[in-house]
Amino acid sequence: MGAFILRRALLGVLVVFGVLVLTFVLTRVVPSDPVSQWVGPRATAAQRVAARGQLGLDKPIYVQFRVFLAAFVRGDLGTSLASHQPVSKELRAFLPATADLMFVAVAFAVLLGIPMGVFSARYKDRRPDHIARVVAVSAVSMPTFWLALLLQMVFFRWLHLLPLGGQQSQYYSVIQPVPKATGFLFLDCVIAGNWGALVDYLQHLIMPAIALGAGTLAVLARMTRSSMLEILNEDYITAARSYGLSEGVVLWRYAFKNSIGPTVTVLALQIGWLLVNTFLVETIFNWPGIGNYIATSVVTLNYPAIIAVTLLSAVAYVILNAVADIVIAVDPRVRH
Amino acid sequence: MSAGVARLRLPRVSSQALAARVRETRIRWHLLMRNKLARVCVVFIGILVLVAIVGPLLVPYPDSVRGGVDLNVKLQSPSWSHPLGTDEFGRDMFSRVVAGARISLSAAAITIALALLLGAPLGALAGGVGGIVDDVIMRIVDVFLSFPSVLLAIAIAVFLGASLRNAVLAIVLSWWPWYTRIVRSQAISLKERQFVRAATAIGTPKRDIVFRHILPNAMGPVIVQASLDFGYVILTLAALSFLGLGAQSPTPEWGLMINLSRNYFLTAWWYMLFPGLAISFTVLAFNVLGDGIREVLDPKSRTY
Repeated sequence: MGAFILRRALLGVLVVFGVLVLTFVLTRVVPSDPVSQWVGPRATAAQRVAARGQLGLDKPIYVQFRVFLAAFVRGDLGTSLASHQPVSKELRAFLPATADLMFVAVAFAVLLGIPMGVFSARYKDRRPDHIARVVAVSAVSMPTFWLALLLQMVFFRWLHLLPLGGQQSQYYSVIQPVPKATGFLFLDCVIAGNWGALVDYLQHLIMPAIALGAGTLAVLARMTRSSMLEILNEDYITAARSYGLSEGVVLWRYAFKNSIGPTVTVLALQIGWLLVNTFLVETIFNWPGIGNYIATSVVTLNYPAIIAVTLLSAVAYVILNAVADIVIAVDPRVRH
Repeated sequence: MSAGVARLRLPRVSSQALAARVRETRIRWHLLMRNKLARVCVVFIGILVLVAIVGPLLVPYPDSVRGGVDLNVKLQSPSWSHPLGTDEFGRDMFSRVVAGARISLSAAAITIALALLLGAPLGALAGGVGGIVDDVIMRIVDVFLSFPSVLLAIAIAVFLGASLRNAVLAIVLSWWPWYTRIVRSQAISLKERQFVRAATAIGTPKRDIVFRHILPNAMGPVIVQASLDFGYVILTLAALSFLGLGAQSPTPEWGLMINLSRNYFLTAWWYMLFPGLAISFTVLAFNVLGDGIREVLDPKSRTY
């Protein structure tokens, strides 16, 4: 067991190194001109040469890679070409809003998607199953950004139920701002005991969270359904039923508990997908998070910001995958 | 002498085996067609392909497809002369949505073909040769797969510059490793089969074994997977275009149209609605058909 964990961790380190190499290659080999982004269009030749030195682009490629590695280890993710601020500082500023949004989206997907999958399996090939399957396959087939616009059109334009975008109404963001304690608006509202602001914040969260979570919800429902169906065919379920246990107990305590493995793995993989979709959702809802920052960086060709986020999420992905593998290996049922 | 032996090539697939495979495919097709939903999807995709081929020639306003501006009719709601309304430049949405089918389908087909072209031979090489070659290729694959694939595609597209061609390239570069994986696992099992051993025994060069004997026989599952990926690729292309990294105005690409409609969607609902419906139904058809195919190939793994 220890040897397995060690080997898996070493493989993870190797892959992280590969990720760094690939990212570096991407920034240096692909034709792009960070110098002119840095100095602006009206720079003189001398300024351009100075900028090349400043950005370290005049050194040999292996020295550049060493510098790149050392900076990554220090947690230095480069300097934004747009604001000349450290990217890591900017990302930290945008992190709380995205974390809140992703958390609510995941909660929405898990709390609705998993029961949907369980009921789908319970009522296989009957009406609830058909409805759930139509919802799920539609949700994975719709472009996230289009779903976001549809929600805005229905709930803002037609029903006047929810705000169009942003994080707070002007009353709470400008006139009566919630004191900053953690940077996470949700916690800040709770700490300040400002329930009005909290409700206002939640109202702003609903649409982006649904738009972001819909795809994940569908994937979780599909995964849960298929693993539940497999388990409901097992002998021990028939045995539990023949003991006269209630269907609810059989379903949730006996079948669901054992079906959760693949769903958790899929959820871990979904995190990366969710992050990418924040690019689309946050722009549409004008949500002040990392996704919005990156979507802007894509348009303004702010390479360091894009690279930083790509790199960070790949590293997070590797770690999540390694952890998922180790957790599965610790499960006594699959221990070899 | 060795040259003489090398020329003595074994047939890659015996006629018997070929006949068996054709029979099997026929049965599977028959099973698939018993599924009503799958039948609907096949018909829908057939129509879509037809629209993609001849549609742009038959649209009522070919000028709108090319980007011609007519400000007299800008942002008009659906009517008899413009069944899906017009956009902010007075271009006919119906013509543009129809023309978009060709762009999305052909871009997706090219993307998948290129990803196969890149990924499959590498998989055959890794599985067929094994050893250090396998290790090197698969560690590279691991690295690529540790990026969320859309994110990697976005990063590559940013560096390549915004255009539809580069968006296709970016997706290819982020997507090929999946195919390498599938072909590799096939190749590993094929390597132990009689016909490969026979080829090795008569001294066929390693290169021929990998690319002439293993690769063609390892393609079945990966081609199925590739066809299942159509919906995903169309969605990713649309997302890149939406972010401004794919097709550029005035190309009638569905994702780009939705992006442009954002400034007007609160007043001109038709502008954002129809390109979105086009993407959704196309992807839906591919996904439902994919589920049907998966069910036929592996009845136990039946999901949706």
